[in-house]
Amino acid sequence: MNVIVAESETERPAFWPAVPAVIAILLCVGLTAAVVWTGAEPSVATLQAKAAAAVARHDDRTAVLYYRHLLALEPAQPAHALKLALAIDRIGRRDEAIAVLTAVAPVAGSGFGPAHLQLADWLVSGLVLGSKGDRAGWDIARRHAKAAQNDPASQAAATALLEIVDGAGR
Amino acid sequence: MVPPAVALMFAAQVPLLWKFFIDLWSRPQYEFFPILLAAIPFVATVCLRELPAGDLRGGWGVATVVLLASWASLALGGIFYLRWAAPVSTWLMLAGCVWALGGRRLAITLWPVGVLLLLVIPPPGQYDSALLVSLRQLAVACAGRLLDLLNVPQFTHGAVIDIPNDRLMVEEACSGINSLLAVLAFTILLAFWKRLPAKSLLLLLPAAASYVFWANVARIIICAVAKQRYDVDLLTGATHELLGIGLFASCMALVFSTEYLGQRLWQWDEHAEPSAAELVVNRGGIVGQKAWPWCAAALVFVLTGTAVTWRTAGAWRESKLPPSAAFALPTTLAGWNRVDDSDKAPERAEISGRQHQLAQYRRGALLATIGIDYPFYGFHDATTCYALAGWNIEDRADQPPKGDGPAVFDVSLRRPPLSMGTMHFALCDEAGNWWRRPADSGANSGLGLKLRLSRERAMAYPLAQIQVLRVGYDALDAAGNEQINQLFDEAAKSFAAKVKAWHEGKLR
Repeated sequence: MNVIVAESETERPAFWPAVPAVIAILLCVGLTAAVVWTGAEPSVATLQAKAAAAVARHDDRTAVLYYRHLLALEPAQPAHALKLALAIDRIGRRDEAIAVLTAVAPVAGSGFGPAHLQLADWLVSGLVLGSKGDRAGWDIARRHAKAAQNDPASQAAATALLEIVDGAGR
Repeated sequence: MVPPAVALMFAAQVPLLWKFFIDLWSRPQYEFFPILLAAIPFVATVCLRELPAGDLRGGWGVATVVLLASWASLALGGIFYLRWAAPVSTWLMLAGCVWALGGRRLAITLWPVGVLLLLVIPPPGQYDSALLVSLRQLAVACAGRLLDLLNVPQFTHGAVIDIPNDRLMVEEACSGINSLLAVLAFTILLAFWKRLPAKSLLLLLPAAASYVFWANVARIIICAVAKQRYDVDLLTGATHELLGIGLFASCMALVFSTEYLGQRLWQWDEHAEPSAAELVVNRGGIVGQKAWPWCAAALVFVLTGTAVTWRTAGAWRESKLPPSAAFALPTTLAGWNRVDDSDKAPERAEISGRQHQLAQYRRGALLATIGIDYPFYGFHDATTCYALAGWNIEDRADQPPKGDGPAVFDVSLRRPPLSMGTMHFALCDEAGNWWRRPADSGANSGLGLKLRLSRERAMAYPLAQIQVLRVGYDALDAAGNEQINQLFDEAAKSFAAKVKAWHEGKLR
C-alpha cells in the first residue's frame, strides 16, 4: 500500500530560530513601557524621601546627588541648597559647601536666612579655631549673622552668634 | 568604448572621493562602509539575474541630465572644497551610466544597488551629528529612568550620569549611533541579498533600530551599576570595546532571527532563482550604443576631475603641528599664575581634538583652565561639547576681532544645580592666522563670494582651538570678567605666536 504524505506536513520549518526575535521584541516593548510609565523626571517628594533616607544611613555622597537633583528641579528653593551644602560639608568639602551657600546667601544681599546663619556659624568656627586676627573674616561673619536676623526662624541663633562676633571684635 | 569611458569618468572622481573616504573612516558610525562596498558587486549580480528578457536599449535623454548633475556636483565640490560632493557625483555618474546603457529597465533592476550606495553618503550639513547628539541624550535619559527603577542613585543631565562616587560621560560609542547605522545598513543589505519583499523592511528596520537602541541603553545601565556598586569601570578600555562588539553581534543575530520570524508569519518567500534555461533565454544584449557620447562625457569628466584634483591637492591634509607638549603655556599670563594639578579647578575645559593640553591658572580667588586642542577641519563649535557634558548655554556673544586678534566666542554656561561658567574660545589655522566669520570681513556682495570661497578653502585645512573656562557658584563681576578676558587674550597671543613660529620653522 502506498502512503501519500502531504508535502506541507513533512516540510514544516522549525520555529525556534525566531524565538530570540520574539523575546527581543517583547523586551523592547516592555522597556519602552517601563520608561514611559516611570515618567520624565522623578517627583520632588520622591527625591526628598530618598535624600532623607540617604542622610539617615549616613550615605552623604548619595544624599549630595539627590539634593543636586532637587535643586535642579526647584532652583528657586534655597532650602535644597542648604541641605546640599550640609551634606557636602559632612563629606569633608567645607570650602565647596561655603561656595554653595554663598550662591543663595550672598554677603551683599538678603538671601536665605538659615543659609546666612549656617555660613556665619562656619565662619565663626573657623575664625575661633584659626585666624582670630582676620578682621575681614569677622566682618563677613557679622554681615551674614545680621542678614540671618531678618529671618524669624534663625533670629535667636543669629543674635547669639552676633554677640560672639562682636565680642571677638572688642 | 563603454567600459574605458566609464572607467575614465570614475577615475576623474577618485582623488576627491579618496579624501571623502578618509574623512568617512574617521567617523566611527560609518566604519562599516568598506564591507558594504565590497558586498555591492554580489548584490548587483543577484539583481542582474532577474533582468527581464530582451535587449537593453539606453536612454541618453535622461542619462545626459543625470550626468550633467554629476559633473556639476564634482565641479562644485572642487570650487567650494566640499568632499561630500564626491560620492554624490559618483552616485549620479553611475546612475547616468546605467540609464545610458539599459534605460529604465536596467535602472529598475539595479535600484537596490543604488540604495546601498546611498547608505555610504552621510546627510549634508552634518545632520547625522545632530541625530547622534539627540540619540545620545535620549539613551542616557532612558538609562536614567531605568536606573531609578533599579534603585540606583543617579542624576542624568545631557550625556552625563552622576553617581555618588563619580561622573560618567557617555561617549559616542555608548549612544547607539555607531552601531545603529551599521546595523541598519546590513539589514537593508540582507533584505536585498535575499530578495525579500520591500514590505519586509517595514518590520526589519524598526526592529533593528529598537534592538540597537535598547542594547546600548542596557550597556549604559550595566556600566553605571558596575561603577556605582562594585567600582568597576566598564566605560573605557578593552572591556568597553568588547561589550560593544558583543552587543553589535547580538543585534545582527536578532535581525536574522526577525527575518526568519517574518518568513514564518508572512511567508516572505525569497525570490526563486531563475533556472539555467531561463538565463539563456533572458540573455539579451546592450544595443544602440554610439561611441561619441561616451567619449565626450569621459573627456568632460577627466578635465573637470583634473582641475578639481589640482585645486584641492593640499586640502584636508594631516596636521603639521607637533604634539601639544610643544606648546607649553607660560607660568605667568596677564597677572595669572600657573598652578599644578594638586589645586584642581572645579571643572575642566571640554576638549576633543586628537592633540590637547590643559593648564590651570589662578589670580586671587579666581581659578581658570586654558585648553588647547587640534586639529579640526572646519569650524569646531566648542559649545556642542559643553552641551553634551550637561551644560546649558545661557548666552553667547561673538566678539568681532580687534585688529589682527581673534574673533572670540564669549559663552555663558550653567549646569544644574548651581554651577555657572564663563568660556571664551577662538580658532586659528596652522600659520597662526585667526579664523574669522565672513561678516567680520564685510562679505556682502561679489567681494563676499571671493571671501566666502577663501573661507571655504581655509576650512579645508586644519584649525587649532584655544579656550578659557572659569567655573564657580556665582556669576563673575565686571572686574572678574575683565581678568578672564585678559587671560584669554594673552594666552591666545602666546599660542598663535608659537604656532606661527612652528609654521615658519623657528621652533623644532
